Amino acid sequence: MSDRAEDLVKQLLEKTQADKLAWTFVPEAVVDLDWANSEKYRADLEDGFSFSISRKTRNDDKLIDFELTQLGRIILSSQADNLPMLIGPKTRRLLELRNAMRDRDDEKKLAEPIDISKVARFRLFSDLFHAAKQSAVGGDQTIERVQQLLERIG
Amino acid sequence: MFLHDLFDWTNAGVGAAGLALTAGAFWQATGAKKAAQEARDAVWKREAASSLAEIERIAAEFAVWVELERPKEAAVRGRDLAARIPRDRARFERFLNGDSDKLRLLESVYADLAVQVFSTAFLEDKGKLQAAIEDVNAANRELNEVYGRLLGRLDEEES
Repeated sequence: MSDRAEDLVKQLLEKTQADKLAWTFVPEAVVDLDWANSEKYRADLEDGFSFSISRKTRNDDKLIDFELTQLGRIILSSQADNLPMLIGPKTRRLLELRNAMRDRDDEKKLAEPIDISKVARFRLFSDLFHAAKQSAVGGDQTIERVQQLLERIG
Repeated sequence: MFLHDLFDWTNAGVGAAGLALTAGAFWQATGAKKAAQEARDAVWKREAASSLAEIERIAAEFAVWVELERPKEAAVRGRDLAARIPRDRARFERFLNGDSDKLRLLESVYADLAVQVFSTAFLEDKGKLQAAIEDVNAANRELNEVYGRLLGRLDEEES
């Protein structure tokens, strides 16, 4: 299921990949202690509109925030995460029973136990994050430059 | 004299009837044995289909964990696949026809991917991540085709 934020993210992804939209790195002013790392990028449009995409990580957990703001006021905010789908032993057993029923009844094979919309949403947001990062840092030569500086020191 | 001939003919008739009954019983036993063998084969083929369904489910989960950029969960599913496919391939080889080699190939694809994705750095590289997602989805499509062909053969035999 698509929502307004997903539609916007799709459009931004296309424009970013086509180099029509430039993103910049935004240092985080507030440290979120719940997350180990945080990275944020922003793209500015006319009339004070801005998009931002930030990713917080803790081990393998990732939370991606997407925001549309106008002059600092949040107009639209949306999130996607890759947190494990919470399936307990009872739910797992129910899914196994349903799979067993699906094997007996072909019509039920269309039923899908995995939340594909959550996966698709995370992929969309993550793709925009990576595209924004690529746009902001581009052909980042930081490591090469540091290497040169170290070699110059001798 | 006449009585003696009658006994001879009666004995010959009983002998012929006995032979016919024996032949009938033999024919029935052969048919029953063949039917039992066919029933056993059908059960084995169902078992093979059930095993491939389970492999297909693990492969779908593998793809989901790669797409969700969760290396540990993805690697567990990848290793599961690399372990289960050779076992079930060897077990059900006679029902897989030409798909046995394809499963052997898929097994190595999943094993390689399991090693690759078990690295946060790998998943942080957008190009490598995208390539891994495409490889997993392509492998899953081939696995589904193998499963579909086995189900198709089962359907044909049962219809």
